[in-house]
Amino acid sequence: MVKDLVKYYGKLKALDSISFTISKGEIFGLIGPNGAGKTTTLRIIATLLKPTSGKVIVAGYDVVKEPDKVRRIISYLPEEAGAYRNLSGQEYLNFMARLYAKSKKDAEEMVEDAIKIAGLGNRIDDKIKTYSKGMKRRLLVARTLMVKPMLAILDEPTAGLDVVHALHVRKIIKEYARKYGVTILASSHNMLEVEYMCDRIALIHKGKIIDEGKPQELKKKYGAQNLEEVFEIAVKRGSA
Amino acid sequence: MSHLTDLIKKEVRDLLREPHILIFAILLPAVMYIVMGVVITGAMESALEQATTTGTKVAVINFDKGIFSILFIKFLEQMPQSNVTILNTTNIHAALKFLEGQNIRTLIIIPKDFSNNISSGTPTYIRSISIIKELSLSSIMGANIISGVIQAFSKTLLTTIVKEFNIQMKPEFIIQPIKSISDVYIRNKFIPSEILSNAFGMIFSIVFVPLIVIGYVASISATSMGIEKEEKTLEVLLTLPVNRIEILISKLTGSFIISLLASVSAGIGFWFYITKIMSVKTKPLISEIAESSITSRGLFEIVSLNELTLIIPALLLTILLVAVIGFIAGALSQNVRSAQSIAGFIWIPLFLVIFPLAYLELASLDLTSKMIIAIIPFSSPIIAIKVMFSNEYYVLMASLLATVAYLVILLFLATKLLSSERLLLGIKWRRKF
Repeated sequence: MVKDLVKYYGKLKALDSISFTISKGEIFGLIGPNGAGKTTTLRIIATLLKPTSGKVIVAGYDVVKEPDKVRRIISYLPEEAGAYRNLSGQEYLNFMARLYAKSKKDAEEMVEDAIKIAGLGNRIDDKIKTYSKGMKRRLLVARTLMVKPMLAILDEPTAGLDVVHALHVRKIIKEYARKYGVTILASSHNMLEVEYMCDRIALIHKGKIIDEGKPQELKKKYGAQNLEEVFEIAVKRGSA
Repeated sequence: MSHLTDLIKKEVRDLLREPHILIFAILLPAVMYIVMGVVITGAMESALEQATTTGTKVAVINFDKGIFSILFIKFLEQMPQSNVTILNTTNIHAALKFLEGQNIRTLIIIPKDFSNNISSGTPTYIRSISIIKELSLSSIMGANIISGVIQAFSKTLLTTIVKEFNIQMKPEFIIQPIKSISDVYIRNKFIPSEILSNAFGMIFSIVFVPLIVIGYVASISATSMGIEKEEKTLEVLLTLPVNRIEILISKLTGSFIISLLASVSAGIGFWFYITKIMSVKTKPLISEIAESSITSRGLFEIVSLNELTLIIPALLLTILLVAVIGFIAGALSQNVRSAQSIAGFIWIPLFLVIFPLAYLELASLDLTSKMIIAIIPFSSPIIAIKVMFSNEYYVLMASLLATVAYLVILLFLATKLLSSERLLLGIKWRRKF
């Protein structure tokens, strides 16, 4: 639950009283252009930044007052994430799995899952520094999902992926959310991606939520063909 | 702290696989000292060889023609590998011009009345001119060799005169009637002063090698945070289910392990360097010129091995202090390059403290001054050396306590920094106009 979230960077107001709620097992999309405030919102929820004012509660825990407890139930994928380049893909996944797993068996299962999600084949044993941008992103998505978090926070999950791999990742995210009841909060400026993946979306523009709802309902509400048109009309109405 | 081992393992593995850390911090110190040992030893041996060859290849202008000048020339000819050319000219400049074209570097001039002066007991001289084409170790040694030869002839001559005239004195007495025997009294013991300086040099070597490594520690520690930022792994790291203290400890332990490896590597290299330098064999004639002053003789005549181990806690705490400073520098910067630039400045205060303290006589200061020096950051390794001699262990204890206090303060700051957004957003240095 995000309520009246405000964030200033110096004098710049990055978030202007943002509020939204995500239900358990839901895939929620935060949609908006670059600089709209998506990453700032996700970073606050992921306990990386502190809000200037407002409240964020994840599964009953306050992100400001109980960040350690929040970190135990979330898994975050930043937009420009990297992985330890001198480790192999397998070593990286093993390391991450051990931090979340309760037992060795748990960790092994997580890594097995991740290897399937990443689809890197034998390259999983190669050093990460030899991976292409797309391979690295698939590894990172796999790392985020393998731990089956209560809330997965994905900032532009398919950034840097080609069409085929982006489709694969979207499918995996959807499957994972359904199969394990993982709640997903994803940001994107790719409207097609959002339409395919998200149960509900919030449109964010200049630090404000300008509308919120199911993609089909929003299209109907604005009489639009697609979400891009929805966004365009919503922004115009907002500034009118 | 359940994830600490995993974090440390990751840290060490990641740092060790970083090529520039492996090369510059671990392999290079050992290789550097080994290469220095080989090169310097080679240069010394070659200089000695060259000096021996050129130093004993001489030309002589004899203005005297008397018995003692003939004896001197014979003495020269008896030197090992000697090659003596007698010049008939009386023009020294012309002779030097001529010698420049030859491979003869030394001109010896025996003055007129040389023999007469000796016969009448009047002091005289032999002049030697060394032709030096460039400033090198062998040319300096060559110039010294001929002085040694003249001194040796003088001594032989004196011995002969003492025997011939049946003088009831030893030749050594006539040369030097009063000899200075210089001892120092330290820790209830009499130690020859030259042994003391050797021991002192040795102890400082024991401290300075790890101090060189400390520079790498700052760099490694700063790099480990810089890499996290540059490779964009920091955001994920900070959202993992591990607390900030675990992240801090794992980073410091990783840097500490790498710096210990670097210390061992530098230590092995340094040991090789010392033993190699000491193995240079000097010829009897010139041994007094080339004798190496580096020796551990006398070190354990003054301090025990147990006392020497006092340096260990002082060094370890200093290394840890530098590692934390490096970590903070890395945390405040945006990438590896800026992290290393900031860490590079840690050398300056470190050496600004250590060098002046090396010259200072701590024991002669009053208590307040001692305590002020004890609380200066990075002073404990040098204080450890000093109290080894003076037995003023309370000064070291004060210094160690001060270092621990700095560590606690800096660790607290580092933990705060890890919890702050500054870590992620960095510090933007803005110039105000």
